[in-house]
Amino acid sequence: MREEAHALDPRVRWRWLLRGMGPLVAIAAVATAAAWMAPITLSPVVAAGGVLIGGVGLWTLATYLRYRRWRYRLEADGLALTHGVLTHVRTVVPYTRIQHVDTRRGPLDRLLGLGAVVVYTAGTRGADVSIPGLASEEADRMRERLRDASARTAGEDAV
Amino acid sequence: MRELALRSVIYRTGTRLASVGVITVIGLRQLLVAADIDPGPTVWAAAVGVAVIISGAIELAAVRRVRFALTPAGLQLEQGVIRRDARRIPLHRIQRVDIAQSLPLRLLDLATVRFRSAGGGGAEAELRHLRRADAVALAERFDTIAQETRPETAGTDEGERLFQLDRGGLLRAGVYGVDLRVLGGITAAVSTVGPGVAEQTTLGAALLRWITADLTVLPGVVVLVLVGAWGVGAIRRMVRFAGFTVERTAEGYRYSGGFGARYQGTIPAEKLQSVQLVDSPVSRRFGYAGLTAQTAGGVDGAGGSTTVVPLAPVGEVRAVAAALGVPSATRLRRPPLRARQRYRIRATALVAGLTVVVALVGGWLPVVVPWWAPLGLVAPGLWLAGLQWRHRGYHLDRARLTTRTGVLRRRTTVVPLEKVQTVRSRSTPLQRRRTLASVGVDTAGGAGATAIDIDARAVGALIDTLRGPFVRLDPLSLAQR
Repeated sequence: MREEAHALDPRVRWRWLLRGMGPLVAIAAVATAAAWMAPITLSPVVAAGGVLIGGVGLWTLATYLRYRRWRYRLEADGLALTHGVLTHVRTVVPYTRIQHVDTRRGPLDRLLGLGAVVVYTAGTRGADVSIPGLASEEADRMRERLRDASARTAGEDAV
Repeated sequence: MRELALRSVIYRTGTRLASVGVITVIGLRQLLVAADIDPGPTVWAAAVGVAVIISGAIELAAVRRVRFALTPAGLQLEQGVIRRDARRIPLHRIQRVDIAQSLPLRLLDLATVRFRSAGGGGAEAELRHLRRADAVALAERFDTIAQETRPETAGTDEGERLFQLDRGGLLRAGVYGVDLRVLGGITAAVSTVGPGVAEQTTLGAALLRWITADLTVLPGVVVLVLVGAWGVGAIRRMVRFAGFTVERTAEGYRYSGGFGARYQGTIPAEKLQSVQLVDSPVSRRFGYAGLTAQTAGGVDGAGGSTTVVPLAPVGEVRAVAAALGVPSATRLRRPPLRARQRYRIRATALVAGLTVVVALVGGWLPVVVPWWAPLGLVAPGLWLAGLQWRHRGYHLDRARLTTRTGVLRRRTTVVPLEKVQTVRSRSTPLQRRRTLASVGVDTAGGAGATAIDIDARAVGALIDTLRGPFVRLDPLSLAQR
């Protein structure tokens, strides 16, 4: 019997969408300045507008696809994550290797009522294993379930 | 509380001046020449004198302020001139005490004492420097205390020898080893201080004139620099690995060696995460390879890579790997042929991109380069692509994963499955187009192994095998409560 794969909370799309806006505005500003100074007959307004509209469109598409690809599942031996739009990534973190589990809430997360679960293993590269964008209370539940699973398989961190 | 040897000031002042002083003097000279000021030799001598006195005073203060004591509780260490630091390192965190003596230190009868924690990483604390006899006494005192407080570590001095580098082996370890870092150092030195030296010294100017007068000597100079870099690298390696020995002890493995500077370290057996066999085109040609071991850190989680075999015949290297409990697979499965096609296309695309760049910016280059010149790289590129394919592969059995990669320098990594921390697979759009994927594992300490460009249809089975040793829970107990 396998638990089904879960999608993230739909609100995470807003989080990703909003987080992309800062860099996008910066790029638009650079494009405007470039259109201003470069010896071409391109109105800075058109340049800024073009970059913003194109950028928002692409970013929205990327966010939509990203949300659609993200899945997490508690399997018998570990936490399995599937994500990535262009590069497909699948990660399995065995419960027995989990050293500790945290929830993390940034300002945007709190605004949207979201939380992320971060899983730490002894492999330093594995420190980036996290489930972003869970509903706040679901993030806490998930953290407890992972802590519990980790405790019941304890004693083998293989360091 | 005890103190450092006072004569350590001489060495510390010398090294400080050598590292900081030379760069300062060159920079200052450049600045003065640019400002058209010539202070004359008396002022220069006075400036050097002042520098010696100031750094000497700083080092004297630093040396005099260090106090240390080794007790069954641990190492107590106080240091610092302006800010006083007091540290206490518990005894159980110190795995061993190393004594190192470089050649100048030997002349002064001094030794550096390092207190090492588990793993191949850095030292917990370092004493610079003690008289040799005092250092040995301190190390012996540590052994005595450690044996009293940790009776299970007694008798570890009797080690089974796993590997010893003899004279011939040392020579080969030096000669076959191409150390690119030396070449990088020379390039960096030439590009930073080179122009200044060439302009301001008569020898440098003459050398520069000689090279620029006749461009035909340029290849000769390049070859000379390459041979020189290789020679320096060879000597460095030989100094480092003289008398290199690896032994098995009760707790793990101990390595020691080094000409002039005897260094020793241990790899606790349970901290060993993976081993890596490394061979370069030269060593491969003669059937030689090196072996390193990756360890997880002790306290702070930082890992390290330790040389276990500098260079030895491949058979011997495999035997040592097997003795470490991590035998490497002999036959690896290469990526499918369509992967080679991918590498060839990538190499061709790179050359094509370079051609476009040269065609676009060629006019600005100081020398005339015809736009088609980079196309000459197509054949070497295809050859390297073939090598990349030939050198990739993996093998998985019930106990360990072996992966191999590298274009010229080939690295074969062996990870015991019980050390796997996380398992992951990745596939980029270009990989998916050819039904390829990569499967990798992480181990503690940031090391790991990745099988690149394997048949995507084999990924599922591969991941299942890698997950085999993981503890399984009853799915019902995982369900949401």
